[in-house]
Amino acid sequence: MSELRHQIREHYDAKTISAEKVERILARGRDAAMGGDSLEGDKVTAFPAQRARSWRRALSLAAAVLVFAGLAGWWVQREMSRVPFAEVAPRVIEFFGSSPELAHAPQDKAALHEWLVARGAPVDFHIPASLMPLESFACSVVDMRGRKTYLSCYWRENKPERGDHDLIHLLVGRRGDFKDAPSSAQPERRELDGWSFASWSEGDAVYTLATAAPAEKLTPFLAWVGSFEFLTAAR
Amino acid sequence: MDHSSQNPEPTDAELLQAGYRYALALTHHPEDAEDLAQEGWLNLSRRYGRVESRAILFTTVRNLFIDQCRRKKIVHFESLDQEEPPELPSIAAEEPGLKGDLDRLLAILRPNEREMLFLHYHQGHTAEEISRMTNQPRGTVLSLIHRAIAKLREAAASASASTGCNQWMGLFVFLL
Repeated sequence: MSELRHQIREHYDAKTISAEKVERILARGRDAAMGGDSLEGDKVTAFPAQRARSWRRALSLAAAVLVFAGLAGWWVQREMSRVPFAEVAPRVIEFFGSSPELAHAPQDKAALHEWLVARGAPVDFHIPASLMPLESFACSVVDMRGRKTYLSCYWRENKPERGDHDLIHLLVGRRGDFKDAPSSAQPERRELDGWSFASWSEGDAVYTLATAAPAEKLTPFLAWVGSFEFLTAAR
Repeated sequence: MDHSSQNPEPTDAELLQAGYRYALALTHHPEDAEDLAQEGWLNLSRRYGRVESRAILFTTVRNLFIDQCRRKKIVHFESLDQEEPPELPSIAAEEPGLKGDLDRLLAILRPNEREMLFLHYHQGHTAEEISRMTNQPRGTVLSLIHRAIAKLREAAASASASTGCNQWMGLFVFLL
């Protein structure tokens, strides 16, 4: 062997990586071989990072679409399930035409209010002042196409011979349960099949006053409701 | 010891040490060489599940080193004529040794010159084998080896003269 070869071999043979470091590199190599080498010092290239970002973006977009679709579905379902307010009047006529079984109403209006609230009527609803002096007749919960409304009936007049057409009915419901319900305290009037109706809203409650008689029979009980303009027009 | 002809089936640790020494021949910098050997080893493990042979590890380390040089815009591999240079004499079998610190002497060489010396004198490859391994004409390999040896001898002589001169100066100062 030439002297130079000997020198060069000795020189490079003396150069080694420490056993500890060799073991570490070999261990990392084994990890890398098994595909699990996300170890420190590895070069991170832009491509996987961008892919991860695009996945995150896609997931965020999908989540946003799901949330939006959920909200839209909820809104559509809610709108579909709301009862058109125009159907209230025919339903009242239909209800009384079916000879319903009604509960006897207490004469104490506070007790009557309590009775209705106990069955689910809006807590903040009130019996109009114009009905307070009237004699209570009956009360009930009326199903309005799946939505509950709360009925109380009063005698309009105090006379010896009284019939159904002498009754005045107050129907209270939740405004959110109805589509196109009156949005103000100003009564909206309607007449149908010999019945007269007046509806208005206060807070979350929607009120309907009904009687099986011409509209003028209803007017005295609406005097307290609405604006001065309404009172003038009603007269 | 990792002379290729002596151990045909080296262990992983021996292979890694061989890769490190080759990287050291290229970089002449221990830390850089460690990084290069480690990166080459991990690349191969990731890609093939194992490091199959010394040749593939050397090729990987060499490619990584060239990439690094390109990234750092270090032009080590200056263009030797790729055409076959005039016929050069074969490398002498009995090459006399060098005086002085070999590590310092090797530092003056270019990476490709050190690489040729390493592959020929340490790994025991012939000029033809090195030519195939490095994709260079055999003449270029021989030229690099001759030039590297000449540079080393010149540097060793110069260092020796300088040391001799310093010794005379020391003696002169001592006598004064």
